[in-house]
Amino acid sequence: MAENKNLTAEQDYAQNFMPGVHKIGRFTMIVAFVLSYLPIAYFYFIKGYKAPGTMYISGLTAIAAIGFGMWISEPETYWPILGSAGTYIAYLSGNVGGMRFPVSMAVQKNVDADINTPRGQVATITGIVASVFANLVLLLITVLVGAWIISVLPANVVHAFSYCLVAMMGSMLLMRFTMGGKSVKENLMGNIPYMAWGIFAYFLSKMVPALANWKTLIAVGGALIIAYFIFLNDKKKLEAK
Amino acid sequence: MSVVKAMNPTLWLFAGILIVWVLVQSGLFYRHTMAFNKRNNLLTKEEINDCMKVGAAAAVGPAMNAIAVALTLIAMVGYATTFMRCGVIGAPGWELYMANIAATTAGVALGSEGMTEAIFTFAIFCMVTASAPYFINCIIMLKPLDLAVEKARKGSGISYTNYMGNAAMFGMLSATIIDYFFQKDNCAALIVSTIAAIVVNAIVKKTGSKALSTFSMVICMIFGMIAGQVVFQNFMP
Repeated sequence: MAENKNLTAEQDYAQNFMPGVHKIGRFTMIVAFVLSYLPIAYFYFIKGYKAPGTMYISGLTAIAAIGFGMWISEPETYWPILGSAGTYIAYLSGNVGGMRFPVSMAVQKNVDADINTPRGQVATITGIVASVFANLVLLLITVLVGAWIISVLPANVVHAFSYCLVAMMGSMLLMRFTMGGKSVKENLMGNIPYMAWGIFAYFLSKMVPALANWKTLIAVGGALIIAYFIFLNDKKKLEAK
Repeated sequence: MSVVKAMNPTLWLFAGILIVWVLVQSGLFYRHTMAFNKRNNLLTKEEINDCMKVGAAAAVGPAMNAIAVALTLIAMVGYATTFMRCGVIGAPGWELYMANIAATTAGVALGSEGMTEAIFTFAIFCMVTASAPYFINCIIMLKPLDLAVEKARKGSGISYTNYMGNAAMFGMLSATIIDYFFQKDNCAALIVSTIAAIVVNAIVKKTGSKALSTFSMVICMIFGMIAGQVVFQNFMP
């Protein structure tokens, strides 16, 4: 890839960095897709472990019924926070909501930069990559000696880990209130419309069970639409000055 | 379970290939990002190291949380499949759910002697297929999204992209967090971790401690976990 040294960071980001991200992301995802089905192809076609076709169709139908809403919406809901590179990595390495999302929040807070800035992108990708390595090491330890770890830890310590995600969310929310050089009050006031919409989406998904799988999409999609109107309003004000 | 054990060695090979691919992807992105950073001096070496520490440290808690579910999955589908599915794409809870759907469809219990090689292959198929569409989504959707953002960025004055991160984050977090207020233990974990975050943030501001800032999320998480557990043990039936 030819990279012009006279480009500004923003230009380099748009002209070289992002196209490179998609080249790597798309290529690795296509290969991963094929690799994922490799063991099945081996057992089915080479070893001859064939279950009836009707069983595959039934399984596929059941999975599609549960997963369809998430398949078409979930990556887009995390993308505004993870960025494209972060989303590619997160959806290959897994644990998107429970691990990559909090990691992104933490690193962005650490450098006080949003994902939409080149600085924020560099920080987020670095943090997510580190989390991938850390997770794989821990997973390997789990697979090898996990049963022993659980047996030596007191039961209440093991149970306390179930609060890990909710405890992270409290600090994540506060982190976001202290970012961008604004006061907590300013950040809180500016984000009330999105929070109100998120709460509305929660109750809507509770009242209409058919929307349960779409809760996150409704919450994020609606918040983005609200953000667009706020942006138009701010733009109008700026142009009037 | 004997079938699972018999297929395990072969599955380790496929698991190894996939895990290596995950590492290759992360390595490629890291190299690409570092080259970009070097050209533009966006983050210092120290800041990069801090990001790595934050990323690794923030992953420990959720990874520990996943251990219990992963162990259940090991009992049902074996070591190699668990490593393959939880290290790539899946989260233990989701994978266990999908394995159960496969077993129910096949009319057997997971991990039972009724599990044949063919049914186990089918269970792996269900686990893979439940996550594979995310790949297709990423391949198709992410580039157009970025192009749209780039187009918006080129417009004059302020850009919509500056509003997107906050909107998505607060919309998502609010829709998720509200559920926790209805359970005493989760509510305690949430409130205490938020208070801890306020305190840690104030100390960081006062002292300028980089180390405390780096591990602030982990510290707050530990306080929240303790609070949740205390309430669970003492105030819940």
